Amino acid sequence: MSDNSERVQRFKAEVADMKLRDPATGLDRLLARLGLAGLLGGIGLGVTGWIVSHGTTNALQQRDGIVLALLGVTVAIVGAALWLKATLATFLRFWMARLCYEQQAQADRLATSLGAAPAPGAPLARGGMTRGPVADGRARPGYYR
Amino acid sequence: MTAALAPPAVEPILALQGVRAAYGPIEVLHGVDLTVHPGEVVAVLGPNGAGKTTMLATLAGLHPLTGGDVVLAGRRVSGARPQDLARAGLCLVPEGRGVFPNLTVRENLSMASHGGHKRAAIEAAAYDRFPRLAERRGQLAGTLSGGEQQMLALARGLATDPAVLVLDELSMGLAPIVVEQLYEQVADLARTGVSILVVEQFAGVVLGVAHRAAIMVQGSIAAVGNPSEIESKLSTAYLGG
Repeated sequence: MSDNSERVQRFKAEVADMKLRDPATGLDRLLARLGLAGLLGGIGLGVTGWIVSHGTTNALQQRDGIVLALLGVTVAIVGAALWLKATLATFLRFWMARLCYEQQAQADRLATSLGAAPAPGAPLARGGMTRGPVADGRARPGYYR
Repeated sequence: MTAALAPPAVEPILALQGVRAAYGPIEVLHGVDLTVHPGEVVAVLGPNGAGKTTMLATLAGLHPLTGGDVVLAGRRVSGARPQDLARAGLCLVPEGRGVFPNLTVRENLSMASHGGHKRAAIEAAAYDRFPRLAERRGQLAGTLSGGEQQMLALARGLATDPAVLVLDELSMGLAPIVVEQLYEQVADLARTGVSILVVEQFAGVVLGVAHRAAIMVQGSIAAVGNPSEIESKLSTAYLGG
């Protein structure tokens, strides 16, 4: 059995520095419920506002209904955002990581191909890809007419 | 493969002290006590449903404790978040490999770069340890063989530079020759000083690698000892005789 004491010491230091918090599952659940309640309540307020404004010819009451509906839309949007944040946070985090990776890979590919491409006007390397017909008149792969 | 040794007289790097855990009202771990010392390989064997995977999930912070303590490097870390434990150097390679099937081998390895390790360095280390992964680097992980997926899972775990490696059913669903290859890597890792806790249902190869072993039955550790002692007690423990 070998003892990699340097790694063990580093591990001990990292564990000692670790900030211990309770897993935030309770908070996430509370936020999800609050968000869902906001989403449903907001939709309810919007519908109530529409009913209030539609059910009267009094302009003042109609304006109250419009204010109520706007308030409902706002509450619904905030509630939806909260609910999404609490329920889809993990998925979204992974999705973002994937997006970052793909962008990085695309950037790497671009950098590689730019690095490999000959400078404008420079002669092609021997044995390199020729963008043109060969002596027998048949087109090589990559030949553009 | 290595020989059995008595537990060293140094402070354990990982200790489970009377750990209890439950699924709803049903308690599945009834006070588990186990220690892993620096650079030691400890194998936990037990029949299906003994609570081995729950024990690993509990110590990795993935499942809440209902009692007892998990102590890492002398500090009580019960209730710590799994990402904090992983960042500190506790790495769990889960049962069923846990690779991302729709990502390529390279992309799966890149997922381990969150700790600040360079992707190129991670890939180089992984391909050096498992040359077959180099041949499959552009292939989707879901299309790899079971052994290759396990290699990938192990390589991804190792990319985080773990101090404590926790392996759950490394041999599950794999051909014996692949299992032997994987356990050769585990033995190699132990020689570099990584502390390893490995859970297995089948004792075969793991007892040849372990310094100490334990038998877990019905949510409790029934016996701890050197591998040869444990091997002799296995059939009794499994068959309840």
